[in-house]
Amino acid sequence: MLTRRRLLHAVAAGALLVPRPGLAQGAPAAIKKGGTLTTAIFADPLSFDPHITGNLQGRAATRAIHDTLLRVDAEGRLAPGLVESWEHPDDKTFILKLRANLKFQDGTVLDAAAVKYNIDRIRDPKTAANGGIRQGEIATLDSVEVVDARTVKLTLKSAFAAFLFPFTDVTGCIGSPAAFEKYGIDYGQHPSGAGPFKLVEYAKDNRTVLEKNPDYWEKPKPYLDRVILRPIPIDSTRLAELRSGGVDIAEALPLQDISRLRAAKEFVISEKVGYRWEYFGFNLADAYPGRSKKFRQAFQWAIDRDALHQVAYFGTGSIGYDGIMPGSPFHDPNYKPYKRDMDKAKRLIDESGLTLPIVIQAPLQPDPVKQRAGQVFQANAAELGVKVEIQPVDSAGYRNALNSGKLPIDLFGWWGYRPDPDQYLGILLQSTGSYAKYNSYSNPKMDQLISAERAASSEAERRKVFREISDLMNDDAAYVPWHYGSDFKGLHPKVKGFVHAQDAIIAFQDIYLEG
Amino acid sequence: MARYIVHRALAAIPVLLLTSIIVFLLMRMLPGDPVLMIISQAQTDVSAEIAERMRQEYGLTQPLYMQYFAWLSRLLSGDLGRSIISRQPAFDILLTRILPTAQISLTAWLLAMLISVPVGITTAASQGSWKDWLGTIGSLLGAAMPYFLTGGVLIYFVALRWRWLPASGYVSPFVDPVRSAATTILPALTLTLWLASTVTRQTRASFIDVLQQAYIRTARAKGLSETRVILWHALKNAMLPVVTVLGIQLGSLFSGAVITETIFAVPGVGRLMVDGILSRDYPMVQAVVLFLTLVVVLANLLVDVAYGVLDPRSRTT
Repeated sequence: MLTRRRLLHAVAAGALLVPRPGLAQGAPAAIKKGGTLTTAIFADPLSFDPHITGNLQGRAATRAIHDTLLRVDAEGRLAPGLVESWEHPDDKTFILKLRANLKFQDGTVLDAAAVKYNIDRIRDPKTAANGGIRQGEIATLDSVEVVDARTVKLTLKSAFAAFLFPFTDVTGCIGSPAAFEKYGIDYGQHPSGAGPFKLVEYAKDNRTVLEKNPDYWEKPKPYLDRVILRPIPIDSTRLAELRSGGVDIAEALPLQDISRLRAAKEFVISEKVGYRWEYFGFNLADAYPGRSKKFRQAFQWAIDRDALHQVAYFGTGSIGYDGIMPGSPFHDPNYKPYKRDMDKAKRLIDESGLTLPIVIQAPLQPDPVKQRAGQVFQANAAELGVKVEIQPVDSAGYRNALNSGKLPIDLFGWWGYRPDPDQYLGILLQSTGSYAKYNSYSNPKMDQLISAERAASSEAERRKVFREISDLMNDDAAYVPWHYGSDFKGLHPKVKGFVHAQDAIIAFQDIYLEG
Repeated sequence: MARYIVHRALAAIPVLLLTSIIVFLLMRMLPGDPVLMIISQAQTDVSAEIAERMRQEYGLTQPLYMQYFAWLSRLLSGDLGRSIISRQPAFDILLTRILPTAQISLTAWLLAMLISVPVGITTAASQGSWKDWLGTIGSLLGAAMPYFLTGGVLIYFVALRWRWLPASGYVSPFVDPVRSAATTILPALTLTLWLASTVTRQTRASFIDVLQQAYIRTARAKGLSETRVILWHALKNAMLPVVTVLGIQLGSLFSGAVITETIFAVPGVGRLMVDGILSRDYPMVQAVVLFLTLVVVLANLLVDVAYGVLDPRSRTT
């Protein structure tokens, strides 16, 4: 019988099952403007050229300077940015309508011609030769056309429902053509965008200083006068700066300290689940044990995901069973197809056709999370009679092995959040994707499914196809998922207006200081 | 002396050349290249054709000897090339990194000298006493403590608990001398502890040796005070090996700064070199190594000049 007590318990239990939404501080009636926010970041931004910048810190600063054509809302769907509206009249055409009166920080006008200039620059082989890396994100684009001063028409080579999502990141940052022409390859140190902040000082590995752009379109933002980004690579030093008041926000907090830090009263810990997903990848080339499907499938049942969750991630984040992260409209929180079963795993090893003992080399970078995960994997594999030899390499050594197609097993597999799963699943699963090639993975059925989700006309249709992709990915077991990692940030209590985005990039224009 | 200095300066050229060749070859022997690192940062699809075009642009597809001579010919015209990872001129990046490293290293070096020489003399003059034991234990502890432990302890107590100094960062003395000093002290102290320990032991050993010489016995027999014996008769001779150690350590201080610069987030040369090696940023690493080689050569030259001042017998004409 449903009693009031049982109903209350059910509501409380249901609340615990809902993914933690991350801190989202609402704005009070009166926001105090002004002040300087200092943020401790993990690495130096390196460049503010949107077509060249690569790391998270570079993308964050570049987006603060340029803004983006589109944004992602709290439900993971496209939202207006510099583009106020868009149409999709047929499956190969997008019409983007820019906001009125947009200006770059150098005073020139941000219009449709400027958007075309930027998109052409991304696709220009000369940009690629100078380190441009964004052309692959709009590879489906056939042509860009200026319809009028505020309207751009994008025509695709083939149907692609999620085509616009890269424009929510640096691919959608629009720089001043005049500045590009003036500075050329040095634009990265002299950026001019239409974003909430402009670059006023950059000292590599020391500090980046951004000042408010008084002509920013989204009035009354930004609230802050200045933002200072300080690269502090060591976790404990970054944390010490937060605790001593040297910085107001610290990103990438050490996972082993999270439970202790949550109890601390002097600052606030914000967590956002679904920042990255982790997998163990197998090389399907004939030279490696991963060529056997049953061998790979055995690990779906053999790996101890609970232990990985506790040991590698200290209980933070959540266990992952596919590549579609919490927060995505296509994520299924009830999708848990595997529970550890060593008997089943051993039967699959017996059926694999491989002779025991199996020895497999695993080059691994000195990342503490991955090293802990690697050791758990090694122990699990040993129970199957598979000896995993972890070989310490640096980042470049690992990349070299991966890109040459000679990485027997990838214990470092992960992808950071992208607003649409196609942005990374296509690279991993489609036979023409670079990671699929590295791992010799090719399944015509998977290629059909990827094409189907791109051509799908509704979100419901795409969701159905993505579920099939998850099932097939797990059955093929070229990538064995095990975790969804969280992003953690520490904030001084005076920091208000912070919304914890799933891509871990801080929208500085929303932040204000109190007290 | 001037001719000697010019001769030593000219002799440095083959040293620089040989070092540049060795580093060039070693970097190319490491697996991976900067294009792979650029692509990995992006976490997006970059085709093999694009990657190859990047390599062509950066000259990485040419034979090794052509790459080296291209770098050398640019160097002779004063161009250190561009960082492949950040696309900024290598010289511009390097120039901004010299002052932080020099400031911290020289501060550590001076502090170490100010601490180690008096402590070394005291322990040598009071052999077997409690002062000697205290000095010995202190210097052994200092030598045993790794930089990351010393740095971590200093950050915890000085920056976090007592809030006397900032935990990280760097401010130029030309911008704010007081804040600059504040950001220099902790990383300098981290280096000082190890260096002072090493020099203290060397000073002690050197003084013990000198204090046993016959001319010291004569000085004491003449009725001179112990202070006068040490400062006027023993010091100059005992300092010769100490000067050698200090000179050698000045060069290695720059490499020791790698760890302290990373711990304290100081934008110095050491950190630049490590980042360059890990990201295979060939032009950046070549530029940094060239600079560090110059520093070591200069440090050795200063040691030789100091020797000439301390010991007239070693002066060349």
